[in-house]
Amino acid sequence: MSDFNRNELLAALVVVGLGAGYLIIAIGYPMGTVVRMGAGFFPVALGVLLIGLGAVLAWQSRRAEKTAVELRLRPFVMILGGILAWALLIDRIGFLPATAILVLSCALVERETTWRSALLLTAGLCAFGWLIFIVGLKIPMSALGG
Amino acid sequence: MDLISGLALGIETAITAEALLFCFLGVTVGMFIGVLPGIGPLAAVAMLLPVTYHLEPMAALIMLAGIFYGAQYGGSTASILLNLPGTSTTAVTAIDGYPMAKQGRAGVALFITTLTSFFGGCFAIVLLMSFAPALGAMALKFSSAEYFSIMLLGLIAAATMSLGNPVKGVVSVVAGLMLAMVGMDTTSGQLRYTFGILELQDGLNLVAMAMGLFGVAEILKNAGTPERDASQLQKVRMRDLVPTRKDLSQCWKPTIRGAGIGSFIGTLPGAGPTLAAFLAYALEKRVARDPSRFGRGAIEGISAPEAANNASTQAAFIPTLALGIPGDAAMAVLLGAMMIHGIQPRPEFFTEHADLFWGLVISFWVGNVMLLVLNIPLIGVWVRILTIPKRILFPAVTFFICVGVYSVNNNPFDVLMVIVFGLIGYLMNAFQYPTAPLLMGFILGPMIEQHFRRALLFSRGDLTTFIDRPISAAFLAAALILFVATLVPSLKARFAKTAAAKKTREGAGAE
Repeated sequence: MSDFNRNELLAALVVVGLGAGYLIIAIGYPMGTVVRMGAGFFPVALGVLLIGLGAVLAWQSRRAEKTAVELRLRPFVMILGGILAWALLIDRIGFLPATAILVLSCALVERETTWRSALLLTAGLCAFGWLIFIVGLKIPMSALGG
Repeated sequence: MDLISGLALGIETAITAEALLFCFLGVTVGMFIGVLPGIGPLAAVAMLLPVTYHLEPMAALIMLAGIFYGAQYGGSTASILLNLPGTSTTAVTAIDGYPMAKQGRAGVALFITTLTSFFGGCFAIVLLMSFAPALGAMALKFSSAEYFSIMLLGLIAAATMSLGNPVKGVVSVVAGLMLAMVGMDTTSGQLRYTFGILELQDGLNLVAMAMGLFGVAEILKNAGTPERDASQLQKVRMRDLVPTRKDLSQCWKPTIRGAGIGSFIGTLPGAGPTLAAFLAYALEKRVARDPSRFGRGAIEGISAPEAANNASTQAAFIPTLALGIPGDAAMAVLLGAMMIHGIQPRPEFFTEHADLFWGLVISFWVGNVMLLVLNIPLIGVWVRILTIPKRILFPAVTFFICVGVYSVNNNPFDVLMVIVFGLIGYLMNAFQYPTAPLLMGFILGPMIEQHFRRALLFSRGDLTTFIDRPISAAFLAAALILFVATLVPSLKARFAKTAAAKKTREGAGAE
């Protein structure tokens, strides 16, 4: 048991769980017959397949090499948070402020970034994006306001 | 349409000021993206997608295609100079390219990879010209059974021929198929897995998925880590580029072999340039008189894989255009982009859209020549791109991803999906589940389900229809052979070896 890999096993069990969840929903769809297959046929087959594969991986995890999974919170929060803010705000406060929040948030992930360079980058990308996407390509986004 | 009149038509459509401009734009951006470590051609396409909306389909296609093969050229630069692959397909180039750079022969390595890339690309274009229309003509006779079987072959190839544990590859493909079921079932109108969300009725957005899995996931992995050390970068001047006579005589045979392997692998649906490069490298090592030179700056070790990955990228257009079945994950995204422009690749493509096909082929020639011309005199500029710090690069890329994805449907919902797929991609990378097969499964999912149902409807539920039809049976047999071959221990050992090689490289890259 010395080479037992808990992370691998955990991932395999997640695969099994996802397959099971998928299967439970699939059973609710009409199966149909072999000639006229219903909407549920393929999903049921896929769900069963994924559970099986997950089981194989769980079995294999006994011999798997140890994988180290590092979780760094800062980039996750700031990059994904920046994208989330952009998606939620683009139709409410407009392209320029949403982009400013996104770019600032992503720039400040790196510890080498100074506020000065982050602000310069933000201004640059806002101006460039406005010119290319709104003025040039006429993508329907309002520059300011919803 | 014969070859000569086809070429004439192609020259007519592709040698216009507009087409040349967009070809130039495409290959330049592709090259740029390829040089930057960590951002692949998939992300580049999404960034440029909004630019193409206002274009004619022809110009859009030329530009998007240019990004893909341009990125193959650029990818080797970072591999050679920094031991950091610009794209995963050039990872193998680092094994011998980086030692060459340490010996002060970086210029020669860059020159040789450019030449062999050019050769590999051209080799595969010739194949594409002669082979793709014939395949299309043959495919006109395909019924649903054949389509199902060839897609199954493609999926099994995508799953088992990725590097690492093949079971994880299969999990990835199945997950892609599952995600493809989301939305309205085209046959029965039944809504599946929409959870009452209106936006999910049309299915998940391909561009959002690709950006999350290949763009954001990669940024999440590298953001916040120490800036890569660019101080060790060598200055590369024009006169450093000139290879010796010995270099040239050593590398022409490997280049031809690499181009052959690459073309073959590229034509297979589902198997991409990464695999082609690895196989070409493995072959060279086996046929070499002195295998111990490999890994210490052997010129064969860079010329064969570079020829192979470029040949494979061009050859991947064969199944993509002739059958509508993408040759690899990057082609899957290109296929999606084509559909946005109202072009549905299928066997009739060659007759209905003859101008598009031949125009595209000619643009490949033009683009490859442009890359050759761009690459060699400007090599110093490309090297300098490597010094762009992450704190500028990552915010800019994230921004372009957001706008690119938003502009597909003008809907912020798709941008939210980028976050979800970014997380999924990060986790899959962390646990070593390959992400490219997932995209293949997603693209082929709706088609494979539809053809499976239709085949059984025609045969009145008789499953033997898949083996009674000879072409379908041949595809299934190939799929079976591939599947069994993966389980054979000797092959398994090779997979383990390449995985180990990958690990040491990653370790070296992290230093």
